[in-house]
Amino acid sequence: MEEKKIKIKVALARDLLQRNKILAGDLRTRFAEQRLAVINLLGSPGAGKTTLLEASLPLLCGQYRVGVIEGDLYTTRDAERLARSGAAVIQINTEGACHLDAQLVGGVLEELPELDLLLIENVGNLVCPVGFDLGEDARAVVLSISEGDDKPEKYPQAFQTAQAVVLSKLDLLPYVSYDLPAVLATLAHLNPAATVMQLSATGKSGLAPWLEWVESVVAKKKRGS
Amino acid sequence: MHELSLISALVEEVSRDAQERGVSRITTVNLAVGKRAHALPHALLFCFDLIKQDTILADAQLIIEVVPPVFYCERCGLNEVHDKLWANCAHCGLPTVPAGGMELEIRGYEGDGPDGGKENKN
Repeated sequence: MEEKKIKIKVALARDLLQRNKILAGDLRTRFAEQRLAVINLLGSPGAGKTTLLEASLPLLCGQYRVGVIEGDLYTTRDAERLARSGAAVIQINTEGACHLDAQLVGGVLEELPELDLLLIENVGNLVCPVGFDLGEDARAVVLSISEGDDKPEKYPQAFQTAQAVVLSKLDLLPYVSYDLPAVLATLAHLNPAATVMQLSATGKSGLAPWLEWVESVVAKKKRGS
Repeated sequence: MHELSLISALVEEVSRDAQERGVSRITTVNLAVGKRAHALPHALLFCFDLIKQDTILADAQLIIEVVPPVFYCERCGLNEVHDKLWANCAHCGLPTVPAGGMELEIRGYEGDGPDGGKENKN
């Protein structure tokens, strides 16, 4: 008896992130139906993402119904910080995973009330969240002065896929070695279309352009574009 | 360990596709990984050996093709391959746009077909 073995060769040409892209597409349809503006906030650990939200939420909550999804590996610390603002805050603990994905976001949406604006604070990381679409309208990267001026060149994709870049902790500029003009030039090369803003969330300075940018994302979504 | 979720997705995708085609055992999987795709080939291989166990990919070898960064000039319609983060077109001097090197694509796989390994007696 001879063993019969038929070899099969399958050409797939399939995107590895396809499953996430399909789920993100479903989320995008859902957000469009609800006219809900969604911003995905990226940045290193300690870049000041939560502090930026802390400073912005009291102002944004006066205008809109705002929700926040907090992505962290462990702890509910950030969610607790933000809950004081009056926004609806949901914590996702990824238990070690380095990024949020569309499935995780889709899984908590039922817990949120009806909103005009949803801010998703991704896990602190400039690498892994980049490839994972969450169905957002816009992506903003927070980059602090204290991280060093080489970061846009070291993590180009995070900056290339963003619609806005927030240079945070600008009040530290006199105390650290940081070539701000060089960073601005690099960002202009990497992503000429991005809106670049400079601010200090703790010093509450430079917040206006950021809030205006957020408002423009909401206004665009309300118009249905 | 972002490579772990990528490999989990690969094993899931390939297993599902193979099941639909009645493939009983997979021997090789071909994956294209862009140099700028934020995924390290050696970490992908390491994760593959962990995740493939107890699946129809258990005997499979992962073959990774690294795709270099490509930049496209919209004016000249030309592609340029280089390792710089950005560059102006060598011909017309206008800025080029990234056009490759970010891919994570399962190119395909090979295995034993529907009757593979078994003799159908009836």
